[in-house]
Parts: sequence; structure tokens; C-alpha cells
Amino acid sequence: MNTKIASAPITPAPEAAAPARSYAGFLKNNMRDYGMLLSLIVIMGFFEYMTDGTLMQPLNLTNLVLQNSYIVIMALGMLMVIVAGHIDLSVGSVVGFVGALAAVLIVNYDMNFVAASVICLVAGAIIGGAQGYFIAFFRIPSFIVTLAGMLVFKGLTLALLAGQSVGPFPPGFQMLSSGFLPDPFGGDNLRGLSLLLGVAAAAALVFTSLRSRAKQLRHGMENEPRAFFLLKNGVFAAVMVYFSYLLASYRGFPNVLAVMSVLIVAYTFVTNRTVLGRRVYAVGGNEKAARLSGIKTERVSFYTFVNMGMLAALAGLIFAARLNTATPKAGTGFELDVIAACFIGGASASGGVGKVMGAVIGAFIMGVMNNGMSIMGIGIDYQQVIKGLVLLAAVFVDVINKNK
Amino acid sequence: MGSGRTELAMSIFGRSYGQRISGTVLKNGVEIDVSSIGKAIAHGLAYVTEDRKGLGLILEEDIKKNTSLANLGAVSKHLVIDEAREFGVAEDFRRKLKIRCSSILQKVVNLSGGNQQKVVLAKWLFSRPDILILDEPSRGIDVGAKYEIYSIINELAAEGKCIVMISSEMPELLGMCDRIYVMNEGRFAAELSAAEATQEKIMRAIVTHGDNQNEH
Repeated sequence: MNTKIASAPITPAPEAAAPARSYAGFLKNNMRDYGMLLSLIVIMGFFEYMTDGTLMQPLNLTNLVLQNSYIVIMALGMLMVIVAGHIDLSVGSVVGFVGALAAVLIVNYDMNFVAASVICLVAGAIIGGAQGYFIAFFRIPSFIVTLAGMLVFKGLTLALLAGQSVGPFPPGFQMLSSGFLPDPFGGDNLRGLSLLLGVAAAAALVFTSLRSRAKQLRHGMENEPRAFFLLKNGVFAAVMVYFSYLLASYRGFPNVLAVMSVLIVAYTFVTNRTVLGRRVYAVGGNEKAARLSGIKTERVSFYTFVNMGMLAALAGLIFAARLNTATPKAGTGFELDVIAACFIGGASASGGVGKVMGAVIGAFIMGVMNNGMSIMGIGIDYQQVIKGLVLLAAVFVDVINKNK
Repeated sequence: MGSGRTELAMSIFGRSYGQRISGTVLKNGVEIDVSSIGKAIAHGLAYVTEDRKGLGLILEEDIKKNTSLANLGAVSKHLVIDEAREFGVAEDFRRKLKIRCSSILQKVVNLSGGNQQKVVLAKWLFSRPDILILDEPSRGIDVGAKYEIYSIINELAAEGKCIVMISSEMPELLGMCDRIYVMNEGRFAAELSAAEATQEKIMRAIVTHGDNQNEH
């Protein structure tokens, strides 16, 4: 640093106060994160009990992953859009449109499914970019632009499919959604590779957490109290291994779980540790201050929409592969689940606040509730009432906490 | 108030104010391109806004992230942020500028006005400017913090940095500046050296300039 400001006496660091206080302070600052995780566990426990253990059966757990993968994947993009201070209402329609595009290319035109998938992803990026262009550079509120996009792409889906369902897809394309990781060990009851991957992922989690904690301690940075750290990582690793075991005892890891996991890790890294992520938070936190700090705020907003469009396209491919047909109604209402997942996960509607893990946990809270209530035989009518109330309650708790 | 000082400063700082901006910017006798804020920062300009809550800080973020915001390149490698280095930088500024906080992970929204001002100052000092434009740096902060800000400005000037301070408080101007430009209705009304400047002369410059404007 070349800005030497002469000999300021070093004030004693006030944070070196009694550990009990920092304990409480840490809990207070991070209550949201722990609270969310806790509520997911409580909700899972509740439904596990109410469904007499059906929820956690390997078959059902596999279904849970398959049913929610596209919501989780879109929640990653939506989180960045919301953090940047916008919203995207068009994702459900984009899912339908991309599914239809894939069906037309693969089924009607006999195109190779890999090439068709690439075209679909690019189409998604262009759709996102087109909407982002009006939002970022012309400053039209994202609510309006994406509402228009929602209508446009819903209409285009109908036009593309001529009102019909188109399918089926070739088996290779279906593997995207209904395929499972291969099992080279040939175990009869247990898929060895999946279990191994689960254990490896848990080990990697523990290893990287330990390493970053060691680094934090070495540089005198603040960190969570040791008890929390051990408890959190221990529980996480145990849950990962246990779930891997459950999945491995059915048909192993679904392919989409692998895709989803890679994306979750990548987006967590981008939002937490990169300059790009920092800029997105800055733009959402205070756009004017971000611009005056040299950040090209329009460009940041634009790219969050490009990214969202691409992830919505990926979700569209996965959803089409799962149904094995493209239908005009595919994707209807998805945007609501995705947005709800982000807000349950602690994102702020005014921008600048929200975490990838929060959105993922939020998506799973919604997913577990959907699944659990269906198993319990609660009608679709009351399911929606309950989901709506849970969303309201989650945001209410946030607001109360913030004003305290 | 309405004299066009902030407008002038922000126009120079990457054309961040208004639309139709003309003119050239010379630094050390060489014309520099300040057509965007990023370019202005790259050319060693920094602008500490008078509206620290609206334009200066991201209130919901912590001190650390606000400090590094205008110079993320210096705390990152291949676009990945080096958290230890960032922490060290922010901790350094906390100590040098005596920012009073429980830790640099505290949100700036919870700081007092004076300490918020110091965080904005830290952000722009970390961008390593040659020319630091301070817009009303002592507005809305307590006397103690005001004194500390003055000391920091003096130390920076002693290091050879060029400091442009915008202020409406005449005692502050007379006490701090080597040279005073008086602005009125968007134009320079007078240039005074520290030796000749008095409150009366500054007021007279404004009044006579205003009269001339009305006559013409």
C-alpha cells in the first residue's frame, strides 16, 4: 500500500473480548443459516414421522431428487438475479419453450440430441440476454420485461408444438433425467460407485472446510466458534454419507444429481469467492455506489439474465427428458416455486442479500413439503395453501429478525 | 448549494453526472480519458461523495467488502478473491483511520456517520489515487471524527497527493487549503491563494460574480 498514514496508534482489538460474547454474537449474525438448515431437518423429520418412514425410503429419496433438480438448478440462477435486484418471471415459460424446441429438433428433425441440447442452451442464453438487454440498458423494470417474456414464450411454446405433445425422445436424451451413474463394481444391492462418490464428497467438504479454517486462523481472521464448526461439518458429512448410502441402495446417483451438485459447488464458489460474485452483490446492495466504484452495473445485470436463461434452458431439457415428451403445459408455474425457494432461502427482495446454499435449501424445503404432503394424501388445494403460508412465515421471520 | 461543485467533480470523475458533458481533462499537462468511471479510477482519480449513504457505501455489506470494492483487482488473482489479503487490507485501514467498530465484518449500516465516512475514505485510499476529490468530507459527522478526517487529509497532502476538497464551511476551507476556487452558478468566480483568502473576499467574489451574471 502506498498510502502511509503516519503512526496511528494501534487500538486494542475490541473483538478479543470474552468468548461467550463472540459466541452469542456469532450465533446472532448467522442465525439465518443455521435456522434454515434446522428447519429443513425439522420438516424432513416431521414428514418422515407422518408418512411412517416413506419419505426417506431409497425409492422416494431418488424421486425427490429427480422432481426437484430443475427447481434447484433454476434457483441458482434466480438467486443471482434476485441478489442483483431484479426478478425473472419468465423462467417457467422458458422451460416449456426449450423443451418444445428440443422436441422439435430431436423428434421432428431427427437431429443428434447432443447438438440439439447445445442449441437449446444457446437459445436459453439468447432469451435471457434479450430480456436482460431491455432491463439492464434501457432500465425497464425486470418485473415488466419478464412478465412480457413469460407471455411471449408461453405463446411460442404453443406455436412450436402446434398445440400437441411431441415425443418420445431417444433413449440417449432420456438418460439426462432418468439415467443413473454406472456401477462398475457390479454390487447386487449396493451401487458401489455412488456410495464411494458420496463418501468422497463428504471427505472433500470436511477437508476444504478444515483448510479454509486453518487459513483464517493463520491470518487472524474471525471465524465460527470451534464447537459450531465441528458440529456443522460433522452433521453435513454424516447426512451426505447417509443419503449416499440410501441412494446407493436403490439405483445409485441419478445423473441429474451429479449435474446439480457440480452446479451448486460452482455457483457457491462464484458468489462467495470471485470478483464477479462480489460485483453482483454490490449492484444489488447499492447500484449507484457500485457504479461510482467503477463497476459496470448494466453489464452485471445483463449477464445475470444471460446466466438465468441458460440455466432455465438446462432445466427445460431435464424436464423434457424426465417426461419424455414436450407438452405445451410444461413449466407452468415453475417460476413461482423457484422464486419462493430463493425467498425462503433468505434472499432479500430489495437485492444485495442471499446465498446459494440458502436457495438450494429453500428449494428442498419446498420439494420435501410437496412430496411429503402428497404421500400423506393432502389434496393439491391445501398443499398450495400450506406452501404459501410457509413462504410468508419464512419471510416474516426474516423481517422480524432484521428489525430487532 | 446550486453552485455546481458536485456536478463539476462528478463530471470529471468518469462523466458520472448528467448527459451532455464537454471539455478535456489534463493531468500533469497530459490529456487523460475519463469517459467512464473505470477509466477515471485507472488514471488515478478518486471521488469521495458527499452522499455517503446514497452513493458511497453498500450499507448492508461489511466494512471489509466496502473497503475493497473500488480496487477488487488488487485483492484478487485471476478474478478469485484472496480473502486473507482482503482481510489484511481492511484491517490495516481500520487501524490507520481509527475506524471504530466491533470488527471489520460489521455491517457499515450500523456505524456512526464519522466512521462511515472513514470507510468511504478507506475505499478510495485503497484505490491508490493521485488525485483525491473530497466532496463535503466533514458533513454530518461529530467533532472528534471531523478532526481525525482533517488529520488524515493533511497527512495525505504531506505525502504529495493532490487533494481537491469541496466544502461550504469557510473556516474549514481557510484552515485546510493552499488554494481556493470559488464557484457560483456553475462557474468559477474567483481563485484565491491561502495567504490572501479571507471570508470577506470569498463572499465578495460570490456576490460580485452573481451581480455580473445578472447584468450580462
